[in-house]
Amino acid sequence: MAEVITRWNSAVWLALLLAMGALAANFAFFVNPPLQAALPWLSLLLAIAALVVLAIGLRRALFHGQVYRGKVSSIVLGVLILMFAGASLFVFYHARALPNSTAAPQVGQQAPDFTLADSSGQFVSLENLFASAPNDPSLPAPKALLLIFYRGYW
Amino acid sequence: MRGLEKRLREFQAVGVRPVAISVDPPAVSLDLSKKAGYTFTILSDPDATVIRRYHLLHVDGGPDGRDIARPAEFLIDREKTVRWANFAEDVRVRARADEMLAAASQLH
Repeated sequence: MAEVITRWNSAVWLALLLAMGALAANFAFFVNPPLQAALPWLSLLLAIAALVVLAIGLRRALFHGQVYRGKVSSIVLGVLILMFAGASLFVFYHARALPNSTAAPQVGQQAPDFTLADSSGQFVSLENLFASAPNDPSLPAPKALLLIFYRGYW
Repeated sequence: MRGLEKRLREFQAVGVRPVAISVDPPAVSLDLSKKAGYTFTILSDPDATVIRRYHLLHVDGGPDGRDIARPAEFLIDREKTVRWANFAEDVRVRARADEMLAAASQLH
């Protein structure tokens, strides 16, 4: 009588690795790497790959249980992988859900004037900003301003 | 903005003054400057008046449903003409300091 040999369900573990990679890509932004523009796409790719490989793994575990062992562990890992990949896809979508910028000033156009309070509460205009270099009166007045609009809530 | 602070002297050397703008009130910006060691000017637009004027309003973009600025960077010369602009497509992918410095260096 032939002995039943069950195989290790490697697909589920590979899917876990891919899902962890997808999640990790979202944390790589903190080190501000040179190719950071590729990170969202890397994360998306890894998350999708994780889901595909997970589908293969679950199919093995659930429908070919006589060949592959670890039905329960596959399901537990599957839930974990779904959470990781899901979080990555969620972040991918939300980080890119930005209003379009077609109405914003473009190269060659005039930048609108403004007067706003600085962090000490003092009001400054575009003219004031052009008038002097900050913190160092010995420096010549700036010839250009770099306006950086950011989301805030730091 | 950490990269910006690190290379602030290089910006000054090419005659460019970086100015950051958000809906954060002055006290929050002051706190950020202190914590992060930022010495460049940070302006407050709590009602998003200027952000709206620049057509950069991200309605409902804040964590508590407040209207905030979508990330964007502009290089503006003394005639107030936009010489370079960058609009982030992903909130996590911002213009890098070296990118902005390259644009700044090309101004005359």
